[in-house]
Amino acid sequence: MIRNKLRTSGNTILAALLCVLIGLVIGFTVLTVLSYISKSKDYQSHAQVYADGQYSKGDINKVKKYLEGLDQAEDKAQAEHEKDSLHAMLDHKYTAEQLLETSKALLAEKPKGKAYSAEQFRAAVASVIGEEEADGAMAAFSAAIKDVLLKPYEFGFGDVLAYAYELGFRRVLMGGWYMPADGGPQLEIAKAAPLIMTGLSVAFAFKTGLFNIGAAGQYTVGSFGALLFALVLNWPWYLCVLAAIIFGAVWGAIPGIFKAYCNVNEVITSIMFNWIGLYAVNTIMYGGGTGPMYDLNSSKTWTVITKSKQSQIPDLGGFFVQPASIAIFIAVLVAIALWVILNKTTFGYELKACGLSKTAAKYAGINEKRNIILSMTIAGALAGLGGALYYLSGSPQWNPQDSTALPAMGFDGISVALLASSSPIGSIFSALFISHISIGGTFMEPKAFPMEVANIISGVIIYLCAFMMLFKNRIAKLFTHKEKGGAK
Amino acid sequence: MLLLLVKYTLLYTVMLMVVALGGMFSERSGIINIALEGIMVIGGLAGVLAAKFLPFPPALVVLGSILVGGLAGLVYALLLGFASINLKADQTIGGTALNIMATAIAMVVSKRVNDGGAAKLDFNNNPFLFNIGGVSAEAAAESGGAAVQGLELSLFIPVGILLLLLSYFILYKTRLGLRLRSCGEHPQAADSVGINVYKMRYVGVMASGFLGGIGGMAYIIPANSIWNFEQGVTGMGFLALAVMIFGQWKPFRIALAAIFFSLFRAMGDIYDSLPGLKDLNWPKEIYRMMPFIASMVVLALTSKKSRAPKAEGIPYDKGMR
Repeated sequence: MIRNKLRTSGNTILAALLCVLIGLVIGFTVLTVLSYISKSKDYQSHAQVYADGQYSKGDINKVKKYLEGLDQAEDKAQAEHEKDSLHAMLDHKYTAEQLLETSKALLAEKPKGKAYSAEQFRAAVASVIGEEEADGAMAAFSAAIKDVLLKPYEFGFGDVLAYAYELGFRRVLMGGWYMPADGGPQLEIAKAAPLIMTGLSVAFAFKTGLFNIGAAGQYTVGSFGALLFALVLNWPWYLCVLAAIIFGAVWGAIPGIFKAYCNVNEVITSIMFNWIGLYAVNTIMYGGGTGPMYDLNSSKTWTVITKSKQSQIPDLGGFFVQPASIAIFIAVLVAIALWVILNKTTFGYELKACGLSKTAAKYAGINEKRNIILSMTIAGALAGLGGALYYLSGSPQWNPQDSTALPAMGFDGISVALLASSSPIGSIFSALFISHISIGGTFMEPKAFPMEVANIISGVIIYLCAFMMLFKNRIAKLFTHKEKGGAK
Repeated sequence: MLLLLVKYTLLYTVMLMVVALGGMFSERSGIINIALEGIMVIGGLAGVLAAKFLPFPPALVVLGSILVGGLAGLVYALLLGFASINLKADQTIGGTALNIMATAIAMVVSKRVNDGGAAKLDFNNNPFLFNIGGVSAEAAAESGGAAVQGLELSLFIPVGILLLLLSYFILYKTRLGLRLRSCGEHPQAADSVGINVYKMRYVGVMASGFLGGIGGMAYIIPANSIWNFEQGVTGMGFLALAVMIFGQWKPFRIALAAIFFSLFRAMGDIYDSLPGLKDLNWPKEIYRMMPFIASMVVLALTSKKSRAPKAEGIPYDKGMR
């Protein structure tokens, strides 16, 4: 019996890991494509600059260095050959060095860091070799040194992969630990705590047969509750947390009531109330620019640290210093408590029964309307607590003027729950993972790799989870097949 | 001022109607399409890029980019079809994944186009606009008040009306439409008379992708000549789902429902030029909230006697007959 249970959870973990693996492979593919685009754009833009004859001082120096390098090269024959071909292209009347010296002298008069125009260069060349031959010399010179200058920008497939890995993928994989000195790991932990809560919110609703896509809105309203009691009333942190739980619970209960009494699908209601919540919270927080929670200087809400020290969730010292705090332990404790409720109590059993079959539960005498509302209320409370854990950690600020996007924390909660296949304990680990890669995403080279690549990875993972979990036994068989064959 | 209200209402009506029609095709075939929001983003992104980069004369750019937007939505919807038809995945979860991915893809692509800058794309929307009862705003300004400025409308309005008529015709007057509807009501019965349920559901999902893509463009392109993809399509895809439910999965009712919601949405854009509303001095978020609150009230009142396709959301398994 226990062995069977272990095997099914083992299968689930295997399926989840496979989803993660495929997600990461697709993420790396996206990064490789981006890396190729960025490399080839770089090459083309430089090729264009050199084709126009716009060499900078550094470029001229590079060519000079190259010629000097040839002088000192070990393989004299090869060096002579290359030098000769360079010179040959420049015709016999003037050497490459001559032109380089001229252009350098010219450049010395230019302001630093500025490329000079092709006309100026041509004038300089003409002063050395005469007007009639200047154009020919220019063309020959460009052709000769273009290769030298462009060489560093040439790339093969290996370079593309290396760039994608070094400046992109490796940083995603390392997450916060890419910059341990700047508090990367602490930031990752600080973001994982609310993520565990929104994940638990979605996971708990899943277990009771509901899809709580409204975690984003409940998180928003919960954050508002926490910030209201912290910034305006300056209450101690545990009371602010309580306020956030109540605010979130109310916002979660609404879709539950709509579902139970008006038969409106909770997905639609939750989405509508996400937006209603966001607009309402932003309106009140901003208060026309004079709201008590709104800091005009940063055009966001005040930080809890500056406005109300006692409302800040305490930290532990050691590794768990700002922005990490005891929030992560609260989240883990809640996850364990939820596991106990779902698996060891009658109440949890009733909720799960409703999720498995509403009609059967009704037949068994379970009040299914009450259970739907209760489930959504608890789910909302969990998401609301998530908001408190994040905004009471000290420095995060809410931007009430951004009414265009819901907090990502809510939607990431869906990824967390699905990856954990709705297990409360699993949510802890999947939240740590999602937080890890999204923090890692921000460390990528922004010019080449937008940080939203991390969101693509988690999107792919949810997409895969949507059907992967149906096949988990088959997937597990693929891995254990060999083993069994050996035993027989 | 009334003209302005008409202009914005028409703008949103066409967008909501086209997307809701898309949702209708998908749900009538038995697939819940929560991914409409994401499909709109992808269609809008592809359409904007086409409008920005297609090297054609203006008339062809309009035609080409509408096609590109629609096809991009169609291809993206295939991902939903594959997961929910072939792999029998949970349709809501699959759709949610596509929504999350769509915004991420749009941001990565638009940031890439801007060389790592902001996720904003600018484009020329003039070819998509026309004026009735006067000349364009620029021409009116040039003539120094001699010419009357007309009502500026987008080409998506005739396109949308065409799509509405076409949708009605296909759904109710063709064999394909009848077959598609039967798969949403009772797929087992449909299969027993030789209809390929999988194929019909794919047709439904692809149609919803095409319409959703065009709807995304109809939202993004006429309003402004710059769009920040960070905001996706600001929940319009979900509003379209509410429009579809309010319209009871029927084309002309959907059109009426779209007008109803658009009036509320349009108010949020022009409240400061309406005399009565301006004096109230409410923040714009209140008006933004209105269509969502209205849809909740409407849904609460209508959902009890909902005429949803009976088999929607249930994966069809041939072995379960």
